[in-house]
Amino acid sequence: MKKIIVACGGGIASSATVASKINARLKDAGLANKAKCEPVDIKSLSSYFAGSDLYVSITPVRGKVIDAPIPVINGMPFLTGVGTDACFKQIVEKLGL
Amino acid sequence: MEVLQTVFQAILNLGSSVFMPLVVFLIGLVVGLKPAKAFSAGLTLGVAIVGINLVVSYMSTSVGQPIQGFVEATGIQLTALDMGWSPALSLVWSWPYVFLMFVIQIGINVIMLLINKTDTLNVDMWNVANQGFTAFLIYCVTGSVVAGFVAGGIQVILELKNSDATKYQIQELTGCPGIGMPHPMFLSNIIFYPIARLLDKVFPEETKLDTAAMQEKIGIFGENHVIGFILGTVIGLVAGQGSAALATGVMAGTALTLFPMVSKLFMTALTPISEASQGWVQKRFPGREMVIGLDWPILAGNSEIWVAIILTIPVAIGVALVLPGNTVLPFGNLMNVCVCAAAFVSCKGDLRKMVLISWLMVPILCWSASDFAPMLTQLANEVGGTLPANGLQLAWWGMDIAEIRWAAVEACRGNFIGIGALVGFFALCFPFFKNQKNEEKAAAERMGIEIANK
Repeated sequence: MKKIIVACGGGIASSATVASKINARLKDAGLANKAKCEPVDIKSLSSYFAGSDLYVSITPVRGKVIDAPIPVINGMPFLTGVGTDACFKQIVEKLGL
Repeated sequence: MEVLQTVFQAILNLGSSVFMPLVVFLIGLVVGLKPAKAFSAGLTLGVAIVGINLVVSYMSTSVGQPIQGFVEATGIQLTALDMGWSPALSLVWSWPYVFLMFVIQIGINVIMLLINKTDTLNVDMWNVANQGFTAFLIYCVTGSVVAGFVAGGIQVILELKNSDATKYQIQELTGCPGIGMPHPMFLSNIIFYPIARLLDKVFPEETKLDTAAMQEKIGIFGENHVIGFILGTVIGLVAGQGSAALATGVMAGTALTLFPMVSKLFMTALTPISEASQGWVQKRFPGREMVIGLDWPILAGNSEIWVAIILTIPVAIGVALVLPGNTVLPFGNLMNVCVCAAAFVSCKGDLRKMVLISWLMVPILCWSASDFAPMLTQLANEVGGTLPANGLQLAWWGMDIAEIRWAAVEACRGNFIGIGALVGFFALCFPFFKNQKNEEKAAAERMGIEIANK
């Protein structure tokens, strides 16, 4: 089981929205038993990297995503609803599912 | 009609943990979800409502009792405990009328898009609770649901206008085009913006502070369990618990860690619905270039915000202890995003100005939280029956647009200061929106974008 994490200001609203959308897509793609996405609090983010396989960032600073010890992708499409398909494809590829 | 009303009342009487799942289930079917998915979403909301009440009542006992000891030992009359934004907004999500806010928010947004009064499509459904909270407060003081939702509606319009008026600045800050920030907290910038420009005169030179390094050093104090542990232990020690104060600290840390775990269930429940309605609206406006309105955390990668928040914590607690008229102990919301994330935009990321504005706001946050505590306590009691033990009140210190909400509530009560403050706020809107035009032009120029003259 691969673990995807997504972080926002409290690990409650934005991150939970994105996680819920990613999990729904994983389910639709028949991959729910291979990967799972979990929303986390950005204030505790560094303690979640160990044990996770992919970080979906929704907090870009001037177009840059943060440096992380695990692969990172830009997850903004899951918030805006624009380009979600391509973004999900990227997740599947990065995880090698 | 009478039968309908009786049935409706009967369902309402079953409590919001039954009523709200039913509403979500029905809305889910309307927006085209499969029945099984709609059922699951609705039930998840019910679980979230019961769950949040469980944690609120846990916090009221485990932290509330030591606070009583604290009050007895010090004579400082702190009779309300700040539970923070996630349980506060979760309680609003359990208010039976809040689903009306859904309809009003989407309705106003679609109408304004149709008549070209906005370019923003707000897809942030979590903060419908924030509009609903304004409606709830006004409903409490006027006794009129209509008045409440008029106030909520005005907030919706201002939020959309603000998102339109700042989209290039947000694009510059995030590097992401086509998004906006209709979150209510940014309405505080109508007041912060002129203060920030005054502070430009105090600090004319650019700052060279390395906020990322500062966050690395002090960031641990911003983590929920750490902040809860420290505060809980101190309260326990002052209350004379001796070494048992450590256990109080761990329990306080537990409460603050469990809140977000339960609160995210609300979004798990609401996301399928928000996704479906977003798709529905976007299909109705083919080819229309829209600004997608998002929740604030896309700015959360900026370390200035977190450093400013942590630097406010000691001031917040100090002021709360001595401020006349304050009854609230800041606790769950000590990581007060609402002021600092808004000030981040109006201060253009200058930490010194952000911290000063944040400190300046502390007394207003205390008074407004004290003012609204009885209403929130009553709501908690009505939706979950979690009346805190020993007369402790529940509060939300550091809520979004605390100053504007306070003005609106007091104006409805006929308080002249409130009326004056509310009039002052609306007067400040004019220079604010005018100034944003220049800010937008400057931001667009820096990014090399040409703005079409409207």
